[in-house]
Amino acid sequence: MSGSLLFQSLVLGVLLGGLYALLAAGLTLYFGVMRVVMIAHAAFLVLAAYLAWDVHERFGVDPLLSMVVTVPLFFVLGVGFQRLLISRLRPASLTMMSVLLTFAVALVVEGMLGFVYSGTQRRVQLPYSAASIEVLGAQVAVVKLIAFGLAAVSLLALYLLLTRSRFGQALRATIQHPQAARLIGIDTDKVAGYGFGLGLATAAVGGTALALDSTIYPSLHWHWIGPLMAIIVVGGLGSIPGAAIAAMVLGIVQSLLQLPLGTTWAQTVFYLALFATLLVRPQGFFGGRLAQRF
Amino acid sequence: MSEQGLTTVELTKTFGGVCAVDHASVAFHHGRINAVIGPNGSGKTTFFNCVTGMIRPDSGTVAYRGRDVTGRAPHRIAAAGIGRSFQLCRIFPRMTVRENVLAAVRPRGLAGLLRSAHDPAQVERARGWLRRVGIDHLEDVEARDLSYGQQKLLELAGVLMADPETIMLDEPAGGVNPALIDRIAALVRELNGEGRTFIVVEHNMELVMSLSDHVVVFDRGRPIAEGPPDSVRSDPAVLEAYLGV
Amino acid sequence: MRNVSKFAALLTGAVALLSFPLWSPNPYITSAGVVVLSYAVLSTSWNFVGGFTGYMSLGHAAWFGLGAYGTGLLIARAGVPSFLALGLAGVIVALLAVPIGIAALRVRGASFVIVSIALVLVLLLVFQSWRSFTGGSDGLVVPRPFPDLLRPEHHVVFFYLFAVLLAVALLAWWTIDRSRFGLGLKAIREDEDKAQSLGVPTFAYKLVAFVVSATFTALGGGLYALWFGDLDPIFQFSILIGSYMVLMALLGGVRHLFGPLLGALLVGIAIEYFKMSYGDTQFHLVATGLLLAVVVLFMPDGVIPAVAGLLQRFRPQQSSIREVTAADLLEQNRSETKVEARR
Repeated sequence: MSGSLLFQSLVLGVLLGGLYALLAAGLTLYFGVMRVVMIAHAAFLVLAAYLAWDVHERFGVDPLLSMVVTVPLFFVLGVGFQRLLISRLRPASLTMMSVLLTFAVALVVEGMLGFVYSGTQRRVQLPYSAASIEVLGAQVAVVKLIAFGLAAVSLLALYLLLTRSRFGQALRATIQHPQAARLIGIDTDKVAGYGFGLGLATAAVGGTALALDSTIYPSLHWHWIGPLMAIIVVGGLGSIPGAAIAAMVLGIVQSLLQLPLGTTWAQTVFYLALFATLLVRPQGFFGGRLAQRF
Repeated sequence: MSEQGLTTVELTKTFGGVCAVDHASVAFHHGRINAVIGPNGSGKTTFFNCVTGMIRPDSGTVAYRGRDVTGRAPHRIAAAGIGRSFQLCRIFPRMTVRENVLAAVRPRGLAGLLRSAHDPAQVERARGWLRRVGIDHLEDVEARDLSYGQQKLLELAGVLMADPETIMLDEPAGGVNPALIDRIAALVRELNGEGRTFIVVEHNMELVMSLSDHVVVFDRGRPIAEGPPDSVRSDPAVLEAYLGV
Repeated sequence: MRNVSKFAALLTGAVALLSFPLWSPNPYITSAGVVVLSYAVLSTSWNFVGGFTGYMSLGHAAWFGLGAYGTGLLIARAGVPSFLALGLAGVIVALLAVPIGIAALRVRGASFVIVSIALVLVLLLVFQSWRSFTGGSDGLVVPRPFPDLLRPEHHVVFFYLFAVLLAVALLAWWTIDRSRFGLGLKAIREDEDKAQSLGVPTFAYKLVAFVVSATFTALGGGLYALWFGDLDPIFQFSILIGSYMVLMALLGGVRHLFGPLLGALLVGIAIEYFKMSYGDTQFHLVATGLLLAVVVLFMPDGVIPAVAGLLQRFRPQQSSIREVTAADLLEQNRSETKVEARR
């Protein structure tokens, strides 16, 4: 593989990694606040992508504008979901039952998408869809840059929110030690709800980014949830930085492997990483105090 | 004291920056009732967990009856003859009282594995232990429907069903009423009389002083004093650890 | 008396089930019956792990697919006779399940669920991509074991073959359920660390249950391949089928021998009915998802305890076990202190 091609793959890997990082961060949020493995995260991602496509088809506006509606909408949905459904589950079997419940939600979302939009593959056609610009000698598609930009901005916003705001502190406290948080007066139920909302909001952003560049179809979410879950296990459950690092590393490796192996085989890198993590270090590599054998 | 019981040498376990167990070397008296006391956070439960295989120690050794059992998985520690109870009583909530005790039976070979769990001989043995702890009338009740005190007794019956030579009890008197504490103490004395060794972590000083033959005092992850209850009671190092004097 | 009526009910049920091909109105309905029976086999097989150990595998279709493709490939590529291929595929899957189980069982709870989903997804990926070997998305045709049979008879024969496999699976489940091995597995479900401290070799036990479950599921897949004759990765390594298995077992009750069978009957008949009335739509997914959500939220122990609980509300109130226990305890404490005072 030539040097420039390698560099190109590297750049693409970084861009891809950024998107993975945002989505994995969202997935980590659900787990952090409520020990819930939100399998439906990717389904909502695809839903957001469909909404972005729909907005573009119906009104001719740039799909990015759909975020104005989808981000707050998904936030509210997330809060509602946590309050109405997750909190109904018995604490003893919460993790297990929540997996089944979110799995069920994923099925419903996929089914509804297929029902409303049919199984036909959709793709957003934009005037700048085919455009690319030169970045450090590599040709990069503009849409990929925008997607990365969205992801990067959102991750930064998330970081600032978590570290600089009172709510962020309350959220981190709830993640680390719910009982202690309650003792110092934090309303952990409310915070958990907002945490969920935040997680789903990242899916809205990610979905819009996805719509810019990918072909979407109802069962697409299974192509994302596998790699995303592999990322959070490799990174260490409950650790946002861990998830981000794992996302970057695996995104880059996937991109580098795409040329010699092709897209489908390159995806197996996530599963190989998952398998290796289980054998060598089941609690994950990059931190994650929550990754005990729960 | 000619028989080798449970012994640890330089047992160490660190979590992050905290050294929970710090080069702890203890030789428990076999055939006796040993007590492990110490202020909160002195590492007693972590010590227990390292010995019984729930946590892997960073360094040091654990030996039982002359054999090295360091870092062995909990079920192999149980098979070696050491049973334990938990600080926050652990039972199998959705199994009946009888099943809770029967779960301790260790089947031998494929035939043993496939044999009925409710084999009459084992059921009789289970009933025997339930009778001894005093909850045999609750045989068919699901464990989650028992009171906390009854669950503690159930946990004890289960541990005893596995026929351990050495029994480690983590705060057996925690959270139970005085009548029950007396009942448990009497049972421990009885069983000790029958040849079983006990190692008991306790905060209830009255119980420790009246029940034990040998006391080990932990502070900051290691034993700082050991001996008969009376000598430990007046040891200045012990007073300092507890009272910070 | 209860045992006699239980036995009578069982016998009636068995007779009704086994005579189905005789009173089925047409061959299409018979084939629907075969599908329902295959679901019963799959959900019962799933229940070796889900019911006993409490480890929920959402990607169990991985084993279904491996069994189906294993059998199909042995016949189509290696010319192995049909039922020998079935048996061989079962052995191969059992061997594969050991290293996979060793890796997967190192984690618990939600991590295990993630791993199970990852397994079926990666297998889907591999089987779709490895065109030269598996036929990829073009599918794999599996030659029929009884080529001279007409369609209706073919369905009847396989109805009984699945019934035999189901009977074997049920027998195995029953044997484990009443055994010490089974009690150990249930202890793992209740409190894995406590079970281990009591002497249960938890990892070995889990692994055995895992391999047994995988093998039975694979045999179900292999028999399906022989019956249906046409395989496609997207239908064999299917998340939907995996979720059917879980839904049926949960709905019927994971702690009961016939729970998964009951669930398979309820859900399977509903699915086949919808297929016949409305055709193959995306609505399957929505219905399955909604039903799974309802079961998880409102009847996690299965439909029977839920219905019984509902009926209990309308019956005259009995005092609960809790009340009896508390009263008992009071009595006991009183007599205890009397005894202590006497000493």
